[in-house]
Formats: sequence, structure tokens, C-alpha cells
Amino acid sequence: MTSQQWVEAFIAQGPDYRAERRSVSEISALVLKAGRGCDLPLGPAEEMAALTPLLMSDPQLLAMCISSLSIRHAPVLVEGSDTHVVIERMRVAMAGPVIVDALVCGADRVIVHDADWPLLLWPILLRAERVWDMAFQIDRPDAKTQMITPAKTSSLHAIGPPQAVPTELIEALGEMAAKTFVPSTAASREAGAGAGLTDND
Amino acid sequence: MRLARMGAMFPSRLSFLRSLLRQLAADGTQVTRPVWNFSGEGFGHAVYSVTLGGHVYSLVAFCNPLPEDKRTDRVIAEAWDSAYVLYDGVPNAAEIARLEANAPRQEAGRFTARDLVLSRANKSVRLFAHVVERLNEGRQPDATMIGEIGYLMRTTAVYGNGKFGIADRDVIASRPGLDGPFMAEMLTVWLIRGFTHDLVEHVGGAKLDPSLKRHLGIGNSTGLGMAPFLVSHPELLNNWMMVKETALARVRALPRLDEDQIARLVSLAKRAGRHLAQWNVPDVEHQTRIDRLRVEWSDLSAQLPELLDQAKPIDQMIRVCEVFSLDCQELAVSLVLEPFGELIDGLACCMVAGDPVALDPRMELNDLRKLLAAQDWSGGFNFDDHDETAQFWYVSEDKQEPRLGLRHSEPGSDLESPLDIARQMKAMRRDLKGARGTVGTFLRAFPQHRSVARRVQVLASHPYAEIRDNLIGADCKPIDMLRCKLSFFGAAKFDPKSDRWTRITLAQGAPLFDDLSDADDWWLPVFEP
Repeated sequence: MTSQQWVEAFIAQGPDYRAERRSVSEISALVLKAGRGCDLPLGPAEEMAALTPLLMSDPQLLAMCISSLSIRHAPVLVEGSDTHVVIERMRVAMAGPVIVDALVCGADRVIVHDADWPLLLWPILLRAERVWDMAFQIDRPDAKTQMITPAKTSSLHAIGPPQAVPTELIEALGEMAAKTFVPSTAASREAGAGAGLTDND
Repeated sequence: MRLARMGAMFPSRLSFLRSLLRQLAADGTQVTRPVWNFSGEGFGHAVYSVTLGGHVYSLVAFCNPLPEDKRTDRVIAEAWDSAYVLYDGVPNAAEIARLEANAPRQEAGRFTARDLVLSRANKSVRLFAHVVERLNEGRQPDATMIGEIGYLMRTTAVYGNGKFGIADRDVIASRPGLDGPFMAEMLTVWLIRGFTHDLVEHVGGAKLDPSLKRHLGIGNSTGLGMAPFLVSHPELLNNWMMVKETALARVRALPRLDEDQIARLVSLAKRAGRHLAQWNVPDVEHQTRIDRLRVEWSDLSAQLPELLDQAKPIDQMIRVCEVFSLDCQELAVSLVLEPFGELIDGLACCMVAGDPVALDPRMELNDLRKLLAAQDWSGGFNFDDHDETAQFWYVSEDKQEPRLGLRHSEPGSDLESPLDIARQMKAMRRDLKGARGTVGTFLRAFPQHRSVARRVQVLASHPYAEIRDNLIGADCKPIDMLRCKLSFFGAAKFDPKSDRWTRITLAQGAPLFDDLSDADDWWLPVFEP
């Protein structure tokens, strides 16, 4: 099953997912580790983790995030100019920070084609609006293209508060995060807190 | 800010536990105990409630029998003598039942946003049993033993900020009293300490002498899990250090001291000397440091009346200290802050940090280069030298705790955690050669430098955000990072068990539940029963 198919299958199960309440901090740490477990560079993984409060508002967004983290990551190929940025085959985990950077640096428009998860532009830009006190607009000239432009006022819908997280997503994130874990050895156990001490005062 | 200096730090009046107790005193806080349900052997549960900043918080404590072979300080333990939750409000019976089912399981339990802090503690078996025995006999415990051990229980973890489903820090971040860093954790620790007093008196069937009780703090075992926090929260680390440095600058700027101020500093220095005399550890290397510190402190203390009776006295004193060890220098810093609460206590509110500073992609690369060049500490390491990459940080599969491995002899370095900040800076410096334009365009080609580029930018406004050492070098001792953080908590009597973990004591000499009005004169307490 491709990651696209996995997301589609997950969405088809909704909206009554089996879910658990988790803290934002907990899921954010998982997203960061999951990204690193899938070889996403640290900076983009941190940027994705910073979206967690928004991603937790909707299981679909979090599922798309997981899919975006799980693919093979490569530097973003940017065409056009500093003011008119074009990104082909946009893969959002790596391209999200590039898009925001371009807009903050003064780009008049950023055009993305064939995005893996175009809906994730929504939380990315909402967060950028808050951090940079800017406003953006997303247009869809065609089915495979999004055009992001600065705006006087935001046209992005607000995202609700964090919700309980479907256990399937927690497990998926956990599996990806586990790729960063190192199996314990006798040497590592001997060095940890409490090791080598038998007295209890 | 080098590791060696961080590893020499002492608690001060700006330490979080001190700040918390001042807040509790200012609020006129009363501790109540609405639930006490314990067997004669000391198993059961209790609830303690306090009102702080208009909110009620409750410590819910559980004690269960623990087989001797299960009692360990290891983070991989699965059972403890006692478990605790700091609860938002006063729990009803259903909530207590929920916590009873989960708190003793700790990491294996699940919690809710009403649960603010999760902790557990093991008995100091020898002292606990001795105190119970003596109280049962109608006698007070041996003061020497209390002086040597100093706590009835030792926490092995104090979890906050969303771990295992407990409340995110955002829930309490704007509440008066808990808005400072680690305030909820400090409140928990202080309440646990009081609970251990009540528990031993309950089992022993008699009251402890208040002077003995006041010297019974709460122990703690801390390992590597705490160290990466300082690296992953650069703005917060900066703010702690910046406040301490600002406070020091304020007292160094004092033009003269009056007689009372001089007398107070001399008196505190004597107390610190007596405290040092009561600080003994099994670790030979650390005891040697303490021995040297005692000698130096005695030397400095003898000079104090003269040193302090001149223009800019504290500045002069700090300059004189430069001939002494880092331990002595850092103790002197904590000393000179102590009498000047009116001048510096207000700074404590600046020790928090909000959201991380965002990377600014507009910055010109020349400006980034200048910022990087200012971090000359990071450029001198030769990472082709095996010694400079001798260690690597990782997260272990067991309980997902941070660990430190030996790169050239242990597996797992391919899964290294990114605490190699100096190496990251050096790698970015290399790729910046010849690059032009803005940070944003640079990071399109080199996304692997995004995190460290942000860190370098942060240093422009947060000069204490980075530990200026190689955290993967053979010389890196995590114990230095632990001591720094623990000193900010207010810990004393550091008792290192290796260069990776330490025991400490918190709240020793701190006010008891019923004497909060005497809240603020317990810096480096001395046990004189």
C-alpha cells in the first residue's frame, strides 16, 4: 500500500475513529522523531512538529502529515524568480519551509504543482501568518496547481483546537519515531541513572 | 558558558524552588490535607491541596508495598514505593480512583489534562526504617543519620509538560504562581517532601522534632534524560543565564555596602562554609573538589570584611575570586545574590520563554557569517579527530530515554540525536563558503542546515543560548549539564555517582507546610540540631 493509499484508507474509516486524548507536547515530540526517523532533515522536521497543535485539530491533516514525512526526502527544486517562485512536484515536508521563506522574503506569488498533500498548505500558512504577522491567500488555478499570494487580510479558515488523536495515527507515528531508537546494550545500561548502585541509603 | 563552569553552579535565591516558596508565602498559602487513607504500615493514599494565584492544586499521593528487589533508581524500573500526581483542582473519589489505577504505573499509565505533573519516589530505606523505629520507641531519630542522608524519599522522575497525556504547559503557563519555569514541578516536589514527613510520623506513631523535620528534604536521582533539555531549549537556557548574569551585574554595580549588608554577607559566607563542611560524597574526585572548595572558601571568607568595605565591593570581590576554582567562583556568585532580593527577585519573571524564535530567511548570508564567526568556540574543534567525536547521543529503545554512547566502539551512531551543535555549526560554515544571497535561498540548497542556522540567528539576541563546548567530544561530561539545570531548580548536596548521573537533595532546610511565613532564609542550609 502506498502512503497515498494509506491516507485514503484511513480517511474512509472516519469520522468515528478510535481515538485517545494526547497532549500537544507528546504528539509534537512524536512528529519530530517520526520525521527524523524517515530521514527528514532536522530543520524541516522541527517546522513540521511546530504545526502539531493545528494538525491535531483534524485527523485527516495529521494523516497527511504522516504520509508527507514517510516519503524519500530531497532538496526542493525551485524555478522562477525571487518574486515569482515555482515549485514542481511539491513534497510538503521539505517544501513547506521553502514556501514560507519565499513569502517572508517578499515573493509576490508562489506556485506549486502536483503537491503530495495540498491541504497541508493550510496549517503551514496559518502558522506563518501568526509568526510573521502576514496574511495569505490560496487560489487553485487548476486541479494540480495552488497559487499562494500575500493578501491584506487572511482568507484562510481558522483551525479548531486539538482533538483526540486516532490510535492508528499514534501507532504510525510511533513506528516512524522508533526508527531513531537504538537498542540497549549492557554498556548503555551500566551508564544510566541508578546504575551500579545497590545501596538505598 | 562552558561545561566546566556549568558543572560548578550552586543554587541561588533565583532558583525555582526558592521563587516558588516566596510566591506561596506572599499568597499566604495554607496546605490542607482533605484525604488521608493509610494503613498502619503506611500503604494507601492522601490528598494535599494548596491555593496559589487563585487556583487550587492537589498532590495525590499513593504508597504501595514494594519488594526489595524491585527498588531501584533506574529509569527502567517498573514499580516504586510511592507515586504522585499534581492535580488541577481537588479530585473527587472517581478521579482518585482513576489516578490510583494509573499513577503507580507511571509511564505505562495514561493521564488527562487535569493531571499537571507525574512523579514517583523510593524510600531511603535505611533512614525511613530508622525514623519509624525511633518514633515507635518514643524517641527522636539519630540526628547524625538525618544529617548524613537528609531525605526520607528520593524521586526518580518528575514529569511535566504533556508527558504521557498530562497537561501541556500551555494550560498553566499564564497562571499566577505557576507561570515560571518548572513551578508546577517544584510545587510537586515540595508537597512530596511534606508528605514524606507525614507518612513517617504516621507509621512511627509520633511527631518528629521540627528542627529534624526541616532538614529532611527530598532526594532525587537524575540521569542523562535531563541533559538534552538544555540543548533543545536554547531560548529558555539563555533566559535563565541572562537573568542570573543580570542579577550579578546589578549587585556588582552597587557603589558601596552599608554595615548591615556587609554583616549579612559575612554571616551567609560562614553559613556556606558550615554547609560545605557537611557536604561529603563517596566519589573521590568530587570529594577532592569539595575539599579544595572548603579551603578556598575559608580563605575568601577571611578576606570578606575588608573586601566588602570599599568602593564597588561586590565587583571587587568577584574579581578576587578569579584566582580560585570554578566551584569557588560560582559559590561566590550565589552568595552575593542572596542579600539583595529587592534588587533582583523581580528578574525571576524573565526566566520563562515563549515559542521558539522563528528562523528569519531574509537575513543576508554575510550577516549569518558574522554571527557564526562570533561563535569562535565552535570553529576550533577538529571533527576528524576521533576524540572530538568520541561520543554520540541517542535515544534508547528502553523507555525511550536519552543515552550517550561511545561512537568508535558501540553500535547506533547512525541514529545519533542532533546534540552535536558545534559540529553542525562547523558543517554550515563550510557550506557557506562562496554562497551569496539570503538565508532563505541558501537553505533551499542546504536544508540540512536549517536547524543550526536558526540557532545561530537566535544567538544574536540570546547570547547564552548555547553551551560553548563540544557535546560529542571525549571530554564532555553530562554531569556538568545536569548540575547546571539542577542548580536552577534549587538543588544542593550534589552527589555524583558517575559522570552521567547524580543524586541531589531538594528543599532541605525549606519551610515546612506550617511555617511558610519563614520562607526565604534557607540558602545552603546547615544542620545544627
